[in-house]
Amino acid sequence: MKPTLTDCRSVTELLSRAQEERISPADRAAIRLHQLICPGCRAFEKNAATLRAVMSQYGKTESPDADQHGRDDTNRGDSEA
Amino acid sequence: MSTATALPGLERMVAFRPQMMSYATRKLGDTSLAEDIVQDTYVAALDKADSFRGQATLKTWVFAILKHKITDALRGRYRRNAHEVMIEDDPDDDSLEHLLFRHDGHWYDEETQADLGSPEQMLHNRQFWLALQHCLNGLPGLQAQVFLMRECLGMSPTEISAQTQLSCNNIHVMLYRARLRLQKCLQINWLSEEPGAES
Repeated sequence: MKPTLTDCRSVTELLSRAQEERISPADRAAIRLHQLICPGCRAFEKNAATLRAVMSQYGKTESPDADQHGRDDTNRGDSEA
Repeated sequence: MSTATALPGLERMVAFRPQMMSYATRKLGDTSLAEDIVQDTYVAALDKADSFRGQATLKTWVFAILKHKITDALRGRYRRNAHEVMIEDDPDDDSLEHLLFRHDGHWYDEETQADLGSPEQMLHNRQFWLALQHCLNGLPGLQAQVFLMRECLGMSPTEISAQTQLSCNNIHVMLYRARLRLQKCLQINWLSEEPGAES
């Protein structure tokens, strides 16, 4: 199924995929065109890049208040399940 | 304690054992099964444990694996008992997208897709760090695991596929959903908490 790249869901899905692999110039152009009129999809792309930059540091980082973290999170991992 | 990060992953994971046991027992209602699952989680988490240098980040990694193993166990059990069960990691579950997108695929409210800001100061900001931890812990287990493999461990979809037995397409879908969820969650828990942020 080929997405049409006129709706935000397809655009953001492809923007996500573009973080793992090269996407075609035609798709890239269609995304740019859509983003001209869509602030939501512009924000998604920028935030995805921000998350990537943050996460690349995340594993290497101790929390800003490591001592407190060791104790106060008895509900860790419990928030959704 | 600064020396904690110098210890090997296994020793650091031991600290989580009581919490892992109580969490797994609560979810599974079966102490001996919980015991097995926690043991399995140790084995699965150990390989990459040294890559997570902070104690809290290691914990996020370990609990992502634990949650997924619990889901697997519940799935097996419920299938044997011919019950229906909601599968948190089901690649076809698109409830989040239904919340964010209208049926024609456009954002319900594109104004809420706000810019999260720039990464530079974020990780040194305690509020942001707590919000990120909270949001990562809120992801379904397998989704969190795949996302951490990709973004923290730098594994390619092919490598993740080899390790998880998921298809590359499933991995793309999971990464997409994790990114949507995290952005949404951070918009709620970080931007709205930030002093001076416009509401």
